[in-house]
Amino acid sequence: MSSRESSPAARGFLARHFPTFAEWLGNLGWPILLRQLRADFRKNRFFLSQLTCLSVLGVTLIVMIANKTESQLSAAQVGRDLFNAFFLLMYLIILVIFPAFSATAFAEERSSSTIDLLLTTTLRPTEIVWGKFLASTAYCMVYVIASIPLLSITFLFGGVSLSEVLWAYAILVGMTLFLSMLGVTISSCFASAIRSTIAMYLCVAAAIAASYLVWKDLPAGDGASTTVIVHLRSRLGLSGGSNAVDALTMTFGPLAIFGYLFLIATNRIRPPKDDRTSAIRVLTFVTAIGLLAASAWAALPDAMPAAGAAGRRLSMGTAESFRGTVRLSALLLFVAALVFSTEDAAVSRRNRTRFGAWSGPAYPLRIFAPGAFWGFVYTVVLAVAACGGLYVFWETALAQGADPRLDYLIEQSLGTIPVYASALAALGFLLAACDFTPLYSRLTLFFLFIIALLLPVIFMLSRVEDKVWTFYYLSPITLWASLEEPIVDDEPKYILHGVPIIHIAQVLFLGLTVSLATAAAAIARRSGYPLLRFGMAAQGDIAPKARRKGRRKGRERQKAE
Amino acid sequence: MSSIETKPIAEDTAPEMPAGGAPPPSARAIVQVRGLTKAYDDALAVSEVTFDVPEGEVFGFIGPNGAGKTTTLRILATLLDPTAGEVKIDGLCVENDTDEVRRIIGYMPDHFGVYEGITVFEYLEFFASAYRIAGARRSAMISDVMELTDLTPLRDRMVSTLSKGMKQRLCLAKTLVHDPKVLILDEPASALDPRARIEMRVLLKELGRMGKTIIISSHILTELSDLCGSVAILERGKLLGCGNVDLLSRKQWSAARVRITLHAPHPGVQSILGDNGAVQRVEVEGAEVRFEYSGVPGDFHKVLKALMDAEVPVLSVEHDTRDLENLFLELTRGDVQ
Repeated sequence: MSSRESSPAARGFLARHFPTFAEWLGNLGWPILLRQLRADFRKNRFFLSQLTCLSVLGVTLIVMIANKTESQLSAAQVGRDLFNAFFLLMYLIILVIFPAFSATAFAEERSSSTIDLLLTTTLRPTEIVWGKFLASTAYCMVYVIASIPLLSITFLFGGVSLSEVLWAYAILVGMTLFLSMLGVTISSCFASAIRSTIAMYLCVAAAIAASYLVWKDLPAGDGASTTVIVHLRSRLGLSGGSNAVDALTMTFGPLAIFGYLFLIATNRIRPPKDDRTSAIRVLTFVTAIGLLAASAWAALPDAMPAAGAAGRRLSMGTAESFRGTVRLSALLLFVAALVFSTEDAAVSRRNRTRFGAWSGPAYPLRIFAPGAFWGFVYTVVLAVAACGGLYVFWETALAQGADPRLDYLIEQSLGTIPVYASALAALGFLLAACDFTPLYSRLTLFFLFIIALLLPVIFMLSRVEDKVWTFYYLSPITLWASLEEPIVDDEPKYILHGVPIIHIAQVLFLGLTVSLATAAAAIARRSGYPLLRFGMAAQGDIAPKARRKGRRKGRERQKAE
Repeated sequence: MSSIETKPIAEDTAPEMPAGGAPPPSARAIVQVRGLTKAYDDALAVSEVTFDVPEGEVFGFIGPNGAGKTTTLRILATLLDPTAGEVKIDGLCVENDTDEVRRIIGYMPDHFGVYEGITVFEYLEFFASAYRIAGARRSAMISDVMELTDLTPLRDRMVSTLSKGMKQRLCLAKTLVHDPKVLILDEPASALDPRARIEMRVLLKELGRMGKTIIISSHILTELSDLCGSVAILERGKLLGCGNVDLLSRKQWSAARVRITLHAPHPGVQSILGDNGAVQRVEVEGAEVRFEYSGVPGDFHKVLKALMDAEVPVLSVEHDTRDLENLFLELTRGDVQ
């Protein structure tokens, strides 16, 4: 008899019209959530910690009320003070107590040897991680929800609007969700519950230190004129009058981080040859393009008044803002090259089969396929898309009326950054084709990057000024900083044998990209790694190094016998 | 060609058995393992292992510690990917069709924990829902499995209060809850007391009678010989023999091994035995004489008659039995990888 049946959720409207989605929704971690809640809510620990937290909150508020009512403060000011104290206490409870609940999600399964039982069921890794996240969140949310009656005490005094209360709970719930996901991810990386808890608290300590930036000049204290929520919203760019782009970044950024944490946790429990890359590549592509678009868009409000004015001069603020976007694009592309082109060159049969089916119009989607070759192609495509998009944006929205020197600077930067990133990706692909492990490839690329960064410093120390500037162009990380005065008397400032050095750098790195990628492809093909064709006939499940090791071990064994 | 390169399974060709006999042609091989190799960073855990498990068979997996039994079973259970080679269960590749394979296998690891804080029924309900069994069918299947594993009286007991034997039965019940075709049991009777061990053996026999294909590894060879129709013997990652226990024994020992104990050492015993053409490899150690007899069993009395005629003081005659334990000892050398 078959064990496969549709879930209850898959029998309604969704099942008829969107069967795949209905099945996915119907099995989204509910078994794990139910089991975990049953087990957790029966523990004494839950009752005792709940009681302790509510007692601390309640006693603090009662003591504060007793003190404040005797002071000269208005009722509204007392209300605001109580609200601030309540919010800060909940903030501390969430940071101090919640990590202990979520940080053991997977580590406990590993230490009690139940993980194998879980992984051999038909639950997918995404469902398992989601279930763990839901269970951890539900457990912590009980604390947040149980605090609502205590908060209602502050309404007796006024001074706090409903929207502030809703915002306060939105922030607390957001923190709960984030800490739960962070805990699940960290627990997936450790075998022991103690280690994962320590790691989680180290992360929380870093978060507390970082939150000083948000909490400094806090309006807390006797008779505060505003609540901490108003302060937080303005600090985080979420207040009504703040820039919409900032607000978008503040909401999109945490979502992207949440997505990365989810994918990391999922990858930690996937079988080794499963696809661990595609989702991260898609998320990175969307995040990079989204961040750059938001960053470029942020320059617009500044540019528009200038565009309408006589002379259509671009303001300095806009120019700096857009140069910041260009720098951001370079940073994102270098990170993409470092991470994706250095993946293992071998692609498992499972993934070859999966991505081999993507042909015809879906063929371009192979840039999201695992493996160093497609990692290289992905980086090149991302570089062209990001810098091409920024170039089009610059030319259509901002370049009119810009200083010619600035125009030259931006154009050359946007022409050079993709070539630099591609050369770096080609080198990563070459290292992977030569059977460097991803870790070694990344370390090698990183150190080369640092050496390139130091090149101008080395020549600066030798006091050869022309060469300093020459090598500034060849140093990827200082590219955008070095192009300060690119034009003198309508001519490029740094010229070698009549050719602007920046063009030499572009040709040099383009040549490097082509030659390194060609060499890497040749080596990869010789080693039997699949490149463009993902057919089952292609070899690649076993790296040449492992094959050699297998042969050597066989010979050693024969000798020993 | 690499020595551990993937060899695709040809459906129409009989598998090449490195040692032992091939499965009977009438039984369909539900598990096909070809050239299975698993390399860790610094060690080759399993090296080019090839065997078949016929459908409905109880298949024993034996070998010393570190032989690669658990690695092989974990690959079958989709928890590990092979470095090379191919493994198919019911025609599905464990690497590429992981989800489908998990629906038809039930895996019980050698070391496992249980989720505490829930009852026996809730425990089984969790795994039933994890295998996507819904509604009334879920309850029915859990009841059936509890009945089979004799857990019905413990339905509402908290898992944390169960004894080791009960937990082992609970884990077996969880393994059966989605009605798998193939059971992969890694040392299911380890750390059990004698009574629980006997109960487990009875249960496994019952499952064998129900037509389940069972792949079982164990150190307790007497239990396996009672249960298993076929075995695979591994040592240091290599398959030393595979097939029916009797066939393997016959292949391993073309001659019966005989041990005769004398009342006192006799100087002429070696030459008397040597005169019989069916007697080989005579070894005399004091009052103990060992040799191999390759003749017709009905003619063995002639060997004894020759000894009696020469007034050799025979005290006892023993035949080495062709059981699994002796086969294992003969094939393996006790090396640990």
